[in-house]
Amino acid sequence: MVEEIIHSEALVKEFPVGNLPRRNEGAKKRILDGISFELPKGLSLALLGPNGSGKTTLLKTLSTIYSPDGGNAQICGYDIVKEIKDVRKRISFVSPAMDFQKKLTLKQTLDFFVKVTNGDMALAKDFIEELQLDHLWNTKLETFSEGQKAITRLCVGLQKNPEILFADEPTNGIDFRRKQVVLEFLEKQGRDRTLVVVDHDPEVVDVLCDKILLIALGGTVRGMVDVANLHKEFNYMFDIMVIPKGPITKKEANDIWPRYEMIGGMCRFFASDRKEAGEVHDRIIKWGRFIDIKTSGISIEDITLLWLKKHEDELEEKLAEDRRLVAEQQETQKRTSRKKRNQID
Amino acid sequence: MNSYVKWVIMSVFKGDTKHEQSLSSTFDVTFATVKRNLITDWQYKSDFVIQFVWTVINLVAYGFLGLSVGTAQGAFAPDYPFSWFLLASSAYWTLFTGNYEETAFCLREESARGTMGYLITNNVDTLGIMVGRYISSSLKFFVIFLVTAIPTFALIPLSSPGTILPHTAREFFMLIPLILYSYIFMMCVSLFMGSITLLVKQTTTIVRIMLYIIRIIGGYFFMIESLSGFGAWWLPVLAVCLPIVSGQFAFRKYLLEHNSSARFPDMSIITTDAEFQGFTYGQMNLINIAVCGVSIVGSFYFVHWMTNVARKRGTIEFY
Repeated sequence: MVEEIIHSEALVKEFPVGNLPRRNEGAKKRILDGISFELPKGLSLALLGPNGSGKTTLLKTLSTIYSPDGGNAQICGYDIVKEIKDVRKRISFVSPAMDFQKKLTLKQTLDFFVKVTNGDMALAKDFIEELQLDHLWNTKLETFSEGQKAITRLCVGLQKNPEILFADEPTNGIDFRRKQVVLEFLEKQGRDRTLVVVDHDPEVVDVLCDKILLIALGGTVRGMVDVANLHKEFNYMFDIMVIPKGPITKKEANDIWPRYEMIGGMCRFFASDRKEAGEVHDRIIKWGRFIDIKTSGISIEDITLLWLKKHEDELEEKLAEDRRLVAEQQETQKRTSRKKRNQID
Repeated sequence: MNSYVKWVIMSVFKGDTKHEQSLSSTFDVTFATVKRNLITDWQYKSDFVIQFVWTVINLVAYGFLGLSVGTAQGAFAPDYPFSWFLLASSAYWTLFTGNYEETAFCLREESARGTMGYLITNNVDTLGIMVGRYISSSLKFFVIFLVTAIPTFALIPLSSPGTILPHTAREFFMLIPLILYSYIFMMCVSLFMGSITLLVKQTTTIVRIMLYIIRIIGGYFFMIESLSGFGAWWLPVLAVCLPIVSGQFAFRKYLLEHNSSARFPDMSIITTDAEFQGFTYGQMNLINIAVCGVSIVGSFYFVHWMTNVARKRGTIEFY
């Protein structure tokens, strides 16, 4: 049996609407609606989905900042509700909103976090040296750029040497050259550490993650995809969207470029690199029956969606199973509370 | 210092691995937070100056207010100028106001800075953060107390020749535990108010309302003996059971009641017919210890409960 580092079963998180507690059911908004997935040990995960789908909420719930309202999850085999201290010993959470006391130096800041988390200063120093920020060791954080702060955040998260690092947009704001160093560093460490990241940057997902969990609006799982499979099947970098004059047939589209999808009356072609994108562009111009052509970089979410579309049937089966599990759990919860009420009466 | 205090307290729990670990972690967090806050406070020297100026303004304002009133009238009027009465209130509260407010708002600041999530996920509890803030702020405001209140009281013997401060060393040492109880009690109130900020973000007014309620019932603006004028002799007796009130009561007696130093040890509240209503010094100590104990347990439990509610409601960290 494969050992799981994260196991989530029908995880639910609701937030009250408005500022004051209200007792009626309708005053709650469900952000996560039965999230179920398993992550085997040794693999890293990217959480992808549209804005407001609950990615950060899932990250915060798994990292024990929020407590779940339903379902359960285990991190490294420990329950996130009942064995919270054991979970917290093994994880670290890095958020882009994390800021520091501006008047403290980098050394004083790291000293504080190392002390309170019982972390390892040598690890922090290694990371800072690798990122060539050691010359800022005694500089106050008020002078740091956004990129330098992002590196400090990561350093704070890593100095604890956690088994799982939960990171929300970890490389956000870091310049290109340093981003490569950060990715290399994390990739090197990835062998001993699981990363769970929320990031829209395809490079981050590509380099650091083995699996993608796609979350749909409404906080449900759309599917889980292996990054390796994704690249094997959809090695796309660009998409070329064409608005044709009148309808375009499948044969016409296939003649222009075999990798395409029809969206309403429009046609979207996929290219693996810049050269291919140029070729598709030339072929469309040669074909001539178009109103507009638009070429853009393709996001990792788009590719994941394409993968999901292709594997819809097998995923549908799994989703149905998950939904059944959620319904069963909700029914059990209702039955238990009804039983309790009856006992009180 | 850190390791010495830790060693002394840890020796009590020797052998109890679970408590030993938990206490050790709480100590590390509290001392690290105190250190961080002291370094940061030192960087904001202008804030220190502002707090100093604010305290001086308070002392001057209440001094003038007292002077304008002149001598207090009525059955419970003190036998010293009313300006001294208000100066004693201002001086005494210099020890508690700033640290109370800074502690009550520290979780809100931590939350705004976005470090709350990180600290929470590292078993750094909200209690450790607040206690750390309270200790470091207390040091800051103790320094302000020394440089503002002490010189002000040094002026009293000048304005009233023959008055000597302090009365006796014995009274000075008797006062220390009462101030310590007040200190612990105000820490508990700060923890209570601070944990409310985990749920409600606009708490500035709530925190100030609480401060003024305690000041009013604590006799900041009037002699608490006069509360018995409302037909309830037990009201001042009950009020003095709160450590912050008994501390202030003793502080004023110790500093100002030069003609009645013999009354100080019994902590009595004299009613109109000069009948003894109150507690002896020993009883007052026991009551204060009991109230502090209940406050500590209550506030620690409340912080823990509010943290869990905030985690449930998602208000523990906003961004």
